[in-house]
Amino acid sequence: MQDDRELVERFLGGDDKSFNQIARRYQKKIYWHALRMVGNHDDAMEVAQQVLLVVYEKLSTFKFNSSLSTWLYKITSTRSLNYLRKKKVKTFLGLESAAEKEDSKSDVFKSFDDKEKIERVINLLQKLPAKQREVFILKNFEEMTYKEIHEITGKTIGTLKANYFHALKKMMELTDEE
Amino acid sequence: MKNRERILKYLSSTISDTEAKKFEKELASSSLLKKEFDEIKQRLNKLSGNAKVEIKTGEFNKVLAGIHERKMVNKPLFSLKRASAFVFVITIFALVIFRSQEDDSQTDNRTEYDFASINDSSLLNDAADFIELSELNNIYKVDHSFQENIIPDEYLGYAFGENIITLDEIDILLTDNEYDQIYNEIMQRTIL
Repeated sequence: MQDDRELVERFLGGDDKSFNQIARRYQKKIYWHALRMVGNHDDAMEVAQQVLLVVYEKLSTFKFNSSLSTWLYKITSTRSLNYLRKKKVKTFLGLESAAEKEDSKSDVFKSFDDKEKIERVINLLQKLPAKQREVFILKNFEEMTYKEIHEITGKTIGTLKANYFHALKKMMELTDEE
Repeated sequence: MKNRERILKYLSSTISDTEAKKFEKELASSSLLKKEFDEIKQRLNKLSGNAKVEIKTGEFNKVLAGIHERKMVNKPLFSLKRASAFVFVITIFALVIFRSQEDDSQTDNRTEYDFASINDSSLLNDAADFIELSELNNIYKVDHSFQENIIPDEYLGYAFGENIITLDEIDILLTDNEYDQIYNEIMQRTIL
């Protein structure tokens, strides 16, 4: 299997198919992160598409100062937060109903049990403030270190620790209620 | 669970190395602490367990197809649809601005969202996103040198009254009641 650097170099050299390989390699990670951040399948697919489009257009600026994976998480996080912000503004102005996209018929899960389990977790995550949610997801689901999360979010390690502590506390309270 | 706070501090590494070692020592000797610790770990594992869920890959072809479509479709800068949307948004903003100016001169008649009366926590989080940090600065004196764009719910952990609290002091100085007090004070502010 070709490594990321090789694929990027081939893409920048004009081989468009290499981009498809990069996209296929990372699209699930991007989707999962977006889904946990934005809370539903349709919005997550939209964010995933935006992320890959940004990657397609900006890959020439990527200098491998971090891993490609870190860079992709960074873009996904930023895009997800922007997406949520825009959605809130639209809801605030009455341009979109908050519950409008929650009953999506489309999904990617193979079993119904999985779907139920995931929806429960996704709903719990949506009860955390967006930035606590971001740290919680990266730490708990992606099992990243604070240093890696710092590279993605740009926040100091101290801030990340405090965010994660508050996220854990809130998550415990939420699961107490169940 | 009386040890929950300590366990969460340990798991989030918000305690010093010395305290962490002390905690680990106690964890090895106290069956009660061990039981509570395992329960919390189990709950967290249960939450992250879905990371292994199998998903259909076919659905993702839509993502790649969508990118291809977006790349290929050369949209004109101002299509009729976009122009209409633009005019609509401008009209909405003009109305909002007009209304707010009108409301300024007739304070008694203005529409207010009293976030303190909202009990739903997710709505409170939404509301918190609309409070500008600069506005919060007028209420609390905060050291922002280590943080940017932080939203109020997180920010609440860092400041109390006129005192500047550093990150290391948060958990020592702030009790749960004080945390609630700050939260309520901010949420009682009315926002247009």
